[in-house]
Amino acid sequence: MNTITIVIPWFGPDTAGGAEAQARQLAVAMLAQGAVVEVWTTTGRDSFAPPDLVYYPLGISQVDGVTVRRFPITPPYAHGIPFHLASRQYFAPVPWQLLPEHEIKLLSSLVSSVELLEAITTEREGRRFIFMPYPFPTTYWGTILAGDQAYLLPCLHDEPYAYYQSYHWMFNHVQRVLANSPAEAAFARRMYGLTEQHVVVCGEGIDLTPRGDREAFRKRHNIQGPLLYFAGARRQKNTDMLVRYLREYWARRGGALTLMLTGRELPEIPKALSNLILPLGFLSSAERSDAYAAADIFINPSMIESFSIVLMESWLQGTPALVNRDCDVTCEAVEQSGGGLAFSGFGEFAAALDILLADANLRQTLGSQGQAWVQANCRWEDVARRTIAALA
Amino acid sequence: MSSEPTVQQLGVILEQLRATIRERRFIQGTSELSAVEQDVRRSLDEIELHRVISAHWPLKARNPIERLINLLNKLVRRLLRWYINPIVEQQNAYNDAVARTLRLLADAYTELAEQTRDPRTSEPPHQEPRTENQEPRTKPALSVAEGNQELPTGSQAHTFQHSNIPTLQRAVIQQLIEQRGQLEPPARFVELELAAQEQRLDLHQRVNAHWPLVGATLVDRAVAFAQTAIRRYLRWLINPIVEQQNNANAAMSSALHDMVRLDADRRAEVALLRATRHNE
Repeated sequence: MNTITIVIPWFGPDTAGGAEAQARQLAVAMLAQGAVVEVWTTTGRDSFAPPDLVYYPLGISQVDGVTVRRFPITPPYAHGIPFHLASRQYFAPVPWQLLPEHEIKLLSSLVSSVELLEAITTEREGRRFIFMPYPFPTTYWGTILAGDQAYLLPCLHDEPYAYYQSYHWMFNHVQRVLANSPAEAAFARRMYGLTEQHVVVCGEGIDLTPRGDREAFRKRHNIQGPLLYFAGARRQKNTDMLVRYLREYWARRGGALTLMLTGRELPEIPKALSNLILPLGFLSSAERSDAYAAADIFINPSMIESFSIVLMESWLQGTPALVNRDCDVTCEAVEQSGGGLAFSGFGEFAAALDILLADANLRQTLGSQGQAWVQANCRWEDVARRTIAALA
Repeated sequence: MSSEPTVQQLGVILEQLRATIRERRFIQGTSELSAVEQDVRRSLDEIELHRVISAHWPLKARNPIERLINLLNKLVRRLLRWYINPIVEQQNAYNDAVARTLRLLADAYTELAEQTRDPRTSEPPHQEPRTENQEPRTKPALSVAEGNQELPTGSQAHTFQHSNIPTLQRAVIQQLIEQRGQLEPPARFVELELAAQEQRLDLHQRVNAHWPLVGATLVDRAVAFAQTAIRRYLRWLINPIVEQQNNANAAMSSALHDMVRLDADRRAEVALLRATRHNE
């Protein structure tokens, strides 16, 4: 039996990030299905920590029963084209030396692990590699070094990097692309001219067991009145826009209203908005469940999603969602589940909030539909089975 | 016979054009803007007129000796343009980012002033956020139920009190959102444009005098080698100028970032004021 080896720049119990959380749960789920699973990663914590920080000890350890092998982190700009490729020991169907300079620069500006890439070249026999997420050097160079044992779990969304020639080649070169959602798969096929068979929707799961405590959370944080929530808030996820839209909505309507933001990279909140915005920083998963349950509406303004774990987690707690109409992935989920509504621009944002805040029955119905959909579609055992089958 | 203007005549024409633009903008602005706002607009116009630096200004000569010197100067300038022009272009890109940021900040001040002038009368007639247990202060322009009646819901229309919302019904609510969204008075959100502009400032702030000089062919490589040697020799002259300009750019960027933050603070304070007046 081949060892399924997940290659990801950061992995561990204290590691934040959507792809990192997905890797952790996918590894455990595939192990539970009887697969032999290993994770190859670096000693770094996550993308929010300094890139040269050694957070986890080097070598082999166990995380949730999964064997994790950690290699030394190579900080940005301390690496280039890996030695094996530069010395032309390996054949690749594209002359990577001719890639545009800015694309090579992007790769060298991200963390990598020279030793990890070395291990792929020397220990690839008997393995199936899942590389994730797509932009990192461990993924790009790794897919070349792993050859016909390379599978890509890209966590792809529409962003400038996705249009790079290097990634276009990578998506075509790997054995298969494993998509988190039908919308992501459609985007990959459209973007890179891939066949139906080349892109498989394996989906993504979430932990379906947590039950949040609405009242306890509200009491703990002294929250009264309507509560809106966005988890995983950071600039790239359109948080600035959400704060500005809500500020204008509040200025126009008045009344008690709170937007709770959680995550490691929260925007600077002006003092005058301290009654409107509640920045709570990074929450444990238990407290996050309480926060979802405490919220009246979960808002996800992001346009860069391949699945949106936070959206699914909020539905699990029965909270209705308001998503950005310019994001295919979250819009598709909202349409399929009936768990929320969508907005585009401030006018629709204000109109949607007017409607949702005024009607508790509507909120409850949407939330219940989202909850039922998540419980039926986000089971890790199903995702693990589909992933293992896609690697066969 | 050619009637093309001389360099001196061109200079005069350009100055006349600038004066006309200033005069026209002054006349346009006087009726609506305060004295300070007019000054700001005039300063922005000045920036617009002077933000583009040229490395190829006209060289004037009054006698044959000066003409000879000019000829030599033109030759040197032409031979060095591979080195000087890219530096000038980088600075122009930064100047452009500064000018745009300043213009957006001026727009932001004007827009903020409009918000503060008469908050009570300028607010749109919509209801405030409320929970279902509270009575609305003002009647919403269009309620969900009314929206359902007006929109083509078909035979499957249900009220929201029932357990499930059929797909068609959700589509109707979505349609209602779009409809009501169009009725909402527009909001510009200048600061989102400013945030994008701040990224451009950071991107262009540092002028680099040492970009890679490479060539694909043997001849190109020989030229690149010669240019590298010349650049290395001239760095005593060019690098201090570039470094001083970079320090000035960094200081300007820092000031502009602070002004953007200040704008965000003021905007938040105005929002608080407007929201509070709704509650009175």
